[in-house]
Amino acid sequence: MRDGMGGWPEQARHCLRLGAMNDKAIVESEQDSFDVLVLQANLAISARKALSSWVGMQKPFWIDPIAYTFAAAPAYLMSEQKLKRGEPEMQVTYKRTFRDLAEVYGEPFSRVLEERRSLRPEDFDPQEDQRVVERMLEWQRTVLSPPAEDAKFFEDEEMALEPVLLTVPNLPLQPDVEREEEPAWLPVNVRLVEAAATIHDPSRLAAGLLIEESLFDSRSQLDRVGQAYQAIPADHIWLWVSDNNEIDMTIPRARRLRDLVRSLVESGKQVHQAFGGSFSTLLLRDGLTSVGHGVGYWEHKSWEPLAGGGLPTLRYFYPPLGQRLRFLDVDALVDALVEDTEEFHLEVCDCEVCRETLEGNLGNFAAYGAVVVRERRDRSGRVIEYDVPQPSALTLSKRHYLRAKAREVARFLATDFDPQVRLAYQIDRHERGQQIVDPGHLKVWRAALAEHAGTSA
Amino acid sequence: MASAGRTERRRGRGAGLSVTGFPRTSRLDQPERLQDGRIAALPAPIPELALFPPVADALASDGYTSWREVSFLGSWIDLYARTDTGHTIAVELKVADWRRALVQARLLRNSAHSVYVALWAPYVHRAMTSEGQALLAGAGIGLLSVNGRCTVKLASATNEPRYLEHVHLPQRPSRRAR
Repeated sequence: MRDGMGGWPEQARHCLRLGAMNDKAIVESEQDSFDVLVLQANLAISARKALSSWVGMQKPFWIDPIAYTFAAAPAYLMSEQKLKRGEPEMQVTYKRTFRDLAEVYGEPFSRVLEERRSLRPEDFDPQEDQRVVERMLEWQRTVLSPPAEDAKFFEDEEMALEPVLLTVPNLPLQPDVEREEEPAWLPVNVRLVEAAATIHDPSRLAAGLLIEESLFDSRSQLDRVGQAYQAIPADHIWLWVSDNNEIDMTIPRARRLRDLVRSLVESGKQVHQAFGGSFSTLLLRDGLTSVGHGVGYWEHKSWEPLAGGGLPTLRYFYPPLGQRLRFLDVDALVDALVEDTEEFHLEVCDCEVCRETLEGNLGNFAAYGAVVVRERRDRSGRVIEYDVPQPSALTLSKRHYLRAKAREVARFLATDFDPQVRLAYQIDRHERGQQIVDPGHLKVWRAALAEHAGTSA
Repeated sequence: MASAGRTERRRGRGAGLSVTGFPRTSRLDQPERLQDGRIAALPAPIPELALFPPVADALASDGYTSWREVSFLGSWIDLYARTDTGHTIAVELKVADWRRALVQARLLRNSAHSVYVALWAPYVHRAMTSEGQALLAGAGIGLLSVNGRCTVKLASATNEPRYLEHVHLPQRPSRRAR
């Protein structure tokens, strides 16, 4: 990893959020495809040694302290665990990761875990704001540095590994339904940023702005939140509209997102989209500083931690529509719209992974959709078949996703790029002669961006 | 780390499919409804898989061996048939909704030399409109009408499938060629 003490790199526009250590090899091999690696605190604390062993990773990093998680229902942070190793008795308790984080963060996080409840605004004593913030920022500054006793094994610059920005703990902004005033967590968030600014320069600070969907749709309260964040003493804002799927967005919502980014940028803030898709990439031209996502996932995400599990999904990121699609949907589009590999690379994807995979033969495209069929028997003894993605297909899809996203960022930022022309072209191309995938979301994006540009959609 | 964004619970076919047996219904053998320009009342739908035996039987007499629920690149083909010489047919079975069947059949174009939508005979008139015929023909998809028998209403275009090796046939066929 690279030290980020110098602050946000001027050219950095693209963040990759790591969700699981099993993506480590892909992230390391495709590190040319993003600028800053984002680590969630739960990963940083549970896999600290593994992360500091990333000698091949030449990227700065940024840590999301996920303080908001402690405001979620405790059940989300718990799992069934054995009471004692080797014994069958089970109990439902907080996952180790969250217990460790609460211990590091101290009051009030540790107390609410003891009391098995969610964080509330009144848990934050204004007299303690500075101490809370200091502990959490200091942890971010040092969590990836090797322990002092290992100093002899490292160069000086490897001992000090700071994130590019220090993220002030932030809590989720939900609408005040009863009084129609302001979200309950807003004053706490603002206070914590003010406390952080007494310790660090605002240029090193990122303030999280996590907005629940229902608040995002409440104009008056959203305006109030926007005004409060325009005035906070932190140069960077980490924006996250909870579970805002850009493919399903309405035009008013897309405009609201654009307007929020624009108003924050005009007030001098550098705005980073924490979980964004191709619409957010288009907003880079509107002043957004960076867009982030996971390795083929997390273009939108709900703030409340959801239960994991299930089988991995196989999707191909289809750049013309900025959308992850099932392999056969993409294949049908390719059949309908593309003649040969040359046209594929011109119209669909020209990334290194697609070139390597196709090798001049469209028949090789199936490598992205390959599955393995497995068998089991149900209770009545009948044979049940199910399919799972081939590991190689999952890897290819992830590598392609990262490469294609990098190209998308570069293309959308190019001086000769015109979003209106590009979107109109893809809408027309995908509406003509095929009824496989609806390009309706491109119309929404086009309308939302057109007004801003002063032209009609 | 919880990987909610990366995974999803599998439901429906994703949860797994039985590859043997099919429902039988005495109501299968119903006539097509387009008679003298008038459309008679339509019967209540039957289970989709009840269409499998007549289609498989018709294909068996043409020298095709048929399999049920065949995995293909993340999708499942209702009926997949192959001759000894290697000619293949994929069939999407649907009782009534021909548009949905067409959408799904289009995804199978690279699995077989010919692709058909098979509809229950009482509902086949819905796909035999000029719009329906144009869309099916444009996509190169054929149309079968199924009741006690299986009748070709529109022939499928012949296609050179790109991904034959990704068709995973169950070990035992459901109908052998006669």
